[in-house]
Amino acid sequence: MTIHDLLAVLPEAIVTLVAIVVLVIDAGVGERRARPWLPWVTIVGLAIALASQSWAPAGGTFFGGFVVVDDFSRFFRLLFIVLAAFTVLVAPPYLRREEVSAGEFYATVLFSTIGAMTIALATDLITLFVGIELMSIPVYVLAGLQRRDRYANEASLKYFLLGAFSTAILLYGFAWLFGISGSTDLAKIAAAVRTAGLGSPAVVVALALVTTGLGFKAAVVPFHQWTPDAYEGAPTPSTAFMSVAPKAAAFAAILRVMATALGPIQLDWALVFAILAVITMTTGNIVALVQTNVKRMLAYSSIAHTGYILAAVAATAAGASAGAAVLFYVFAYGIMNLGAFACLELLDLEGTRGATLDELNGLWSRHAAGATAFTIFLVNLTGIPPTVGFLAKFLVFQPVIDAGFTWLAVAIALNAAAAAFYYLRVVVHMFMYDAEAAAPKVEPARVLSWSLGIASIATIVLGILPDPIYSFAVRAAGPILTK
Amino acid sequence: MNIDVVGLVWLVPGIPLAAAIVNGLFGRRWLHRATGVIASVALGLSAVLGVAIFFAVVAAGHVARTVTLYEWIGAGDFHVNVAALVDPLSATMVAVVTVVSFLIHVFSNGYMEHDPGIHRFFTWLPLFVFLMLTLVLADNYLLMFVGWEGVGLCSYLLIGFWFERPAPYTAANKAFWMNRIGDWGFTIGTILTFLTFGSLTFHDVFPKVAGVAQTQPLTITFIALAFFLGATGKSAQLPLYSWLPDAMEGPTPVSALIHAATMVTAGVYLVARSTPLFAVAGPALLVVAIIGAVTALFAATIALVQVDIKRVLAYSTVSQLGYMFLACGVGAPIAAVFHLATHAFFKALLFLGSGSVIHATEEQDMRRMGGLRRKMPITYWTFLLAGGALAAIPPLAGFWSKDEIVGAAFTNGQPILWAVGVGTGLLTAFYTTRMIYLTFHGEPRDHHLYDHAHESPAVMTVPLLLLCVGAVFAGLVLGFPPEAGFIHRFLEGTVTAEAAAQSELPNYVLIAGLAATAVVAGLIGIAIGYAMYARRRPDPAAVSRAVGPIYTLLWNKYFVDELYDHRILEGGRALFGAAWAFDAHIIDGIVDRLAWLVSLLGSGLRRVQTGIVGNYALSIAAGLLILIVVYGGYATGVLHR
Amino acid sequence: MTLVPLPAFIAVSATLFFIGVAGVLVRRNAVVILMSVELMLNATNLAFVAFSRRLAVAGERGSVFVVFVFVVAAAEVAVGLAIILAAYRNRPTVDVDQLDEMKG
Repeated sequence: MTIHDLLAVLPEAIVTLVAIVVLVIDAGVGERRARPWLPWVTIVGLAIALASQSWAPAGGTFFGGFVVVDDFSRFFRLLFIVLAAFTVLVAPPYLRREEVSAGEFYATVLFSTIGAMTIALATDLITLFVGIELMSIPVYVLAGLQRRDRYANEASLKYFLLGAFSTAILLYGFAWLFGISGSTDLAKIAAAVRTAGLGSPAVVVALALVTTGLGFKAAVVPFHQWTPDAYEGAPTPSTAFMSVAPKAAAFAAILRVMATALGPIQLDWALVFAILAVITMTTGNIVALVQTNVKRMLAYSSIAHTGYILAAVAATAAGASAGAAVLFYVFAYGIMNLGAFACLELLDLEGTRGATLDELNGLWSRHAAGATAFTIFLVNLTGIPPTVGFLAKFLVFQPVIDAGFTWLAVAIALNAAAAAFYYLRVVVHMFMYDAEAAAPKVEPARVLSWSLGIASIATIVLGILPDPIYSFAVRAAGPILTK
Repeated sequence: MNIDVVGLVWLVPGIPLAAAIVNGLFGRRWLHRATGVIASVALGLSAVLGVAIFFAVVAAGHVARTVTLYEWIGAGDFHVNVAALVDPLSATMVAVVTVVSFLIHVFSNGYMEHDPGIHRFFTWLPLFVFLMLTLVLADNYLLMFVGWEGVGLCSYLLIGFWFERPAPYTAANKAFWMNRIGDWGFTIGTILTFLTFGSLTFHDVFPKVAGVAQTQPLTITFIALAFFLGATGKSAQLPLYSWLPDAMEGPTPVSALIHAATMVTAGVYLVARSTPLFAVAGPALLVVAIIGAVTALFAATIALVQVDIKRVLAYSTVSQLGYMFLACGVGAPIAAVFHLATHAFFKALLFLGSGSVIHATEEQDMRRMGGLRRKMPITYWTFLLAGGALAAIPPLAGFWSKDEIVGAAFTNGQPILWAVGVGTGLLTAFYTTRMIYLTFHGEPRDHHLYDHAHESPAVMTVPLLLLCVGAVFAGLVLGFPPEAGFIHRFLEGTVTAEAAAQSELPNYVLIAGLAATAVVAGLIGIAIGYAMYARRRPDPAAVSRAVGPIYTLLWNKYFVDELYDHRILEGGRALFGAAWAFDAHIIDGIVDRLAWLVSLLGSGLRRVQTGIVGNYALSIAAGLLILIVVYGGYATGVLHR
Repeated sequence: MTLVPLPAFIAVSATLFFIGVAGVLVRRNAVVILMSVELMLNATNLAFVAFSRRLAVAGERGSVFVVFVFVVAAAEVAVGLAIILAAYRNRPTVDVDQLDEMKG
């Protein structure tokens, strides 16, 4: 280990430090006095972590091949830091209202972020495994942070038990990959897989185990059932974070493992992924249609979005454009979905419960900025131009068609058309119906409103001027998917 | 001084957007009613520029210039620009859209004066115009889709903001699904276009069309049909038409702008823009013609029995859009664009006129009106002239354009469609006459309403007068002499494929004969309407008693709801069965069934989500097992990829 | 003395894994489910060590991996028990079938 190795992971080290500092301040100064300051400490720390990349070595492998710094890992560093900062900005009103410990929340978000960043750095199964667990375990905690709430208990327990179960499955898959290749290095595994081919039963077993384990993290049907329950029961700021960062990290892991280690047998899993994508998006959308609780509806919607992203993964035969589509979609999805959940934090509801459609009635007249931001996020999720959500969906089409899955493109288009119904239904309730007498109180939080406003405008700006992020995504996909 | 006006084309949509942003940010707190002035001034500037660009293109002859703002998506082999294509077609559309929008904005200042949501109105309306202009100016299908989806969303929200009574939920659903089906068609068309041509930019795609048509005729037909499905949704054609009458719940200026003059013509524009594609699409073109003609006739019959003045106009719009598709379908896209332009003027005028009446009386039911011409002379006279244009009375605007469409159907070998067109013309003249008589003539049927009626203020009547100029003269200016007028020379080569461009002189004897037939049909329609509603001779009730049952059926079908007789009303509805049943059962039925099926499926899938951890784990394990079996199947060759 | 062949280790590992999966699927006690997951992890560890020692191509990475699995599993159990305990405080049961307030 050299100083270069340490500098290479400087952003991760700084985030770790910030998490510890947050915990220390929280314990030392006391909950009440620390509360107003902690979000800003966290955000400044995250900003420093992002900026510190410029001191890091240009790129390459470090720690004897355990860690790689390339555009791919830089892209995800940016994404995870943005998501963590956004989460922290919008959380305080809810945390105060529900008396959730602020220090614990921010520190746990940061720990999970480190895990997610580690996943993007991994070119080795060990790093990958540590990253996945470092990301997942804090998220189980986040789901149950509102300890006295029965729904939060249920959410976190379900998430934890199924998460541990799926991790064990994934890990067993890793063991088989090791058994095939005798190495934990993804490139060496790829070489062994190429020699063995699918004819080897060990490869079949490993492929199925890994698909299942990673599919769980990304909420692919039929491994998705934890999603609605965990998202609905978790405190809303936790839901906002766990609906985006772990999913983005899961796709980082999927790209690393499927495209690198299992890339040689891409033809064998691509069709399965394409079918899973269709099942996933269709199930998510159809069940979302019949939901009346908006939080749960958004949970199903996030499953549908997994399907769209998975479609691009299935199309990795098309080369870098598929990888870029995944990365761009994950980025767009991160902002718009986090934003949509964060809008629910505006409403003062009992416990962790999300608003029902009727409780959103007339939100426009009661909190115009919030309703407008929510509308923009929903329009993004629908995929209506000129938002970034539209562009993300559109960019999936090209690789999918190039890879020969025209039917998959048709299925995406059909799903997107139908999904608009439940997204815009929320808009209808906010704008067209009068508020009910027992409508929930609206939080007058300024930072929350401003953050939502800026993020919602950012989604439009990114839709109109996507190039900075899209070229970054294209560059980032290069190391993974150059043929 | 030599200013490159065409280079400034981005200001045309840009100014309305700026107005929308300003009004959206500051309207609620500070600007209030001033939002209307800001929006109107912005639209005025935009209209001046739009017209200037139109004349610049006219002066330059057959230009097709691409003004690129920036590269939107540019990676690998996939490039899409945010770029405007300025050619005769888009220049015509821009001029029509900006001018009509400007006048409607001015009118709205008066109409929405007392509405507390006026700032919202003047935020969404300019935004809509911005998106409509994006749609029109786009130089590729993707950017066009941006406008396409955007105007749809604006329309959906603009109708919704002013729901006075809770709209029937199923009706809203219907409108929504119909538009989504259409949008899906557009998406599929776009994807297939990219797949086939490797580009979405018009000037990349169209030159390749002929070559591809040789090798893959089926693909071209399929792309054309997919785009046409999109067009039927947006332009309210069979079978996706019935959302438009429901959209009349919105404020009248919105109906005038979105649901008459601009947005609903987007489908026609799409087909006209894609003429090179449709021209070689074989059967797709016939489908367009037939759907257009049938919709025209079908909607006209429904318009006969409507009592709500705006619904008459809504069905009339559906019917006139049908004419435009008929024109595209029989290979006369110039006539379609021509009719689009004249229709924008006279139908906007009719809607604003009805808005003026509604503003004065707060009533939309024509049965309670009557005699209003004495109270509202300006509204009456402009409405009358616009009605004349709709009924295609020479030399008003509608005559020239509609006559050309009907004539084209005949000369291009579709005599049956020609007959349908002429018949629809008769019906159109009849329901227009009926509408004008019921509203403005005769004795006031509701004296309370009549006594309170008054002419609208100048801010509303001046736009009426200006639109009236268009409704009277647009046809003559643009389309005379027939088939060789200004618009034909202007659009030739842009809208028509080069091969289809006719060089020989039009056969004026035939044209005159066809025109005479159409005019006579229109006059018969007016005469019947006049007899029924002005002279009460034959008195509808008397007729129905005197003649035999078959005759009664036929007559009742057309004026039953004017008789205030509930019994006959019911009978008429039963007789009118075909149209009603088609609307209420087949189309709605399909849409409802579809929605029902999806929610049934959703409820079924919900039940799988039992909430019990063990079941979830089982699902994961089962998924794992299936994966092992499938991958194993590949490995052993049992399954094939 | 002949070495126990590699397939024997793998067979034991697979058996352990399936016992673990079956445990998760059929047991309702949250703590027992957690123990079943641990069994699956141990099956993995056995596989790693066996591969690491017996495959000609393999290095010591497999054994290193096992150390990481130990550490992470310990963290997981600690968090898991805390979650189970928090749930138990609000609703004194460890039967996961009764945690079904959210569904559909």
